Amino acid sequence: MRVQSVALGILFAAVCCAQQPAAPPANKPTPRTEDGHPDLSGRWGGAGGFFAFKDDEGTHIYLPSREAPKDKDPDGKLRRYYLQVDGDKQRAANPNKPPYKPDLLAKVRQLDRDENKLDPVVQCHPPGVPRMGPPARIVQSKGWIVFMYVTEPGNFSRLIPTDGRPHRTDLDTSYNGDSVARWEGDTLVVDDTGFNDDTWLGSDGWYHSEAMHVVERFTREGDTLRYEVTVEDPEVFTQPWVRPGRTLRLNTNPKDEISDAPYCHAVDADHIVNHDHF
Amino acid sequence: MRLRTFYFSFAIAGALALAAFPVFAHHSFTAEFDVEKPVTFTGTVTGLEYYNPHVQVYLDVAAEDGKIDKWHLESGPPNQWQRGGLRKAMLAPGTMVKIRAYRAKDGTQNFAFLRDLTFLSGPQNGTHFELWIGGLDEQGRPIYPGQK
Repeated sequence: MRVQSVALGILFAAVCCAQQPAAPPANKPTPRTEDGHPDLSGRWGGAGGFFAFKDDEGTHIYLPSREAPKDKDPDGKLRRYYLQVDGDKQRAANPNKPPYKPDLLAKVRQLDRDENKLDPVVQCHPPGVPRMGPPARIVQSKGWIVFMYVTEPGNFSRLIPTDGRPHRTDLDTSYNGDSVARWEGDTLVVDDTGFNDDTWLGSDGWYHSEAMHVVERFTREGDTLRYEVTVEDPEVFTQPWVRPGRTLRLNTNPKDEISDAPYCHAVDADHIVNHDHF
Repeated sequence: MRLRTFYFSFAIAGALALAAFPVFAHHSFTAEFDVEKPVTFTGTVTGLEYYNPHVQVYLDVAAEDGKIDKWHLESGPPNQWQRGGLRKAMLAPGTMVKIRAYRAKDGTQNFAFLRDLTFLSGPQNGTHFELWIGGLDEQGRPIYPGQK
């Protein structure tokens, strides 16, 4: 199958560049605010892993299933997009899993198995910190920084003080917790506590307790933003979990700007017949 | 008739790992729909629910016995439609479309996942939109729903 180059360009713009740990452009200085800290403001990353492409023939796809794979195609148009990799194997091969206490692994496996019914985000619950990843847009001002997120359960924002104040102790637990931030050199370190336990850390049954403590680190170099996350949860982990870091590019495409979120409503949970999940 | 085809796709798991807009409210296609039970028909749009994580489309389909079958189609997320150029206003009630879809595994009558649609009336008459789950990575290799 030939994929038109124009379409590939769209693909690169929408998907690829969001993931590549791009080398900091040497000729792009990191913008700074009046107080000398890096200015993290901007629209960061891609726009949802969606892309458009055209091909000159029909195409079809094989969808991995925990059921026995069946090499059939309804139209007889098998193409290179015929996908045959097993999602379970992919998950099993992931070397960076949260370090759950051994006696909790059976529970994690069970949650993983029942993910398509039990994962809170499948029912449109907020994904929370840190599952929703880095913000899509950052607005930085004196003493405060605002993180804005786009997720399918909804658009969320976090207003975080950067003036050195301590955590509040008068708040109930919540999806995004209570966050305070400080500068360590040119890295903004965001400390998060006060979480509820209605979020997971991933779709593999990675639950956590209200004792979860998250530290996020943001480092801007030119037009790239490095995002790193460490998760502690003494109730369920044997040691802190360092999630794989990500490098995001500044995104100046006005079409990728945040827009209002459609209502999230899971209408078809009753039709799920097996344990398949992503 | 003008015939334009739009193939567009979404890389669910790719979005999980790669993009700043996470996509993760989806269930797996294979948990609910059967790729071996394709169905093709022509119908008239009666309603549309522009929900995350799946747009829902409702159609009246003329059955052989003269009756009207009420069809319910599930599609991808609104972001897929938006970025592919498929707008909810295009599917105003009364719009005629040809549909290819995959039936639900649980046996629910007239419930299926939308694979593609071709407009048979209105301003988009003749335009074809292909909606499928998957995509390519930067090397042109498939991205598939099970990938992290």
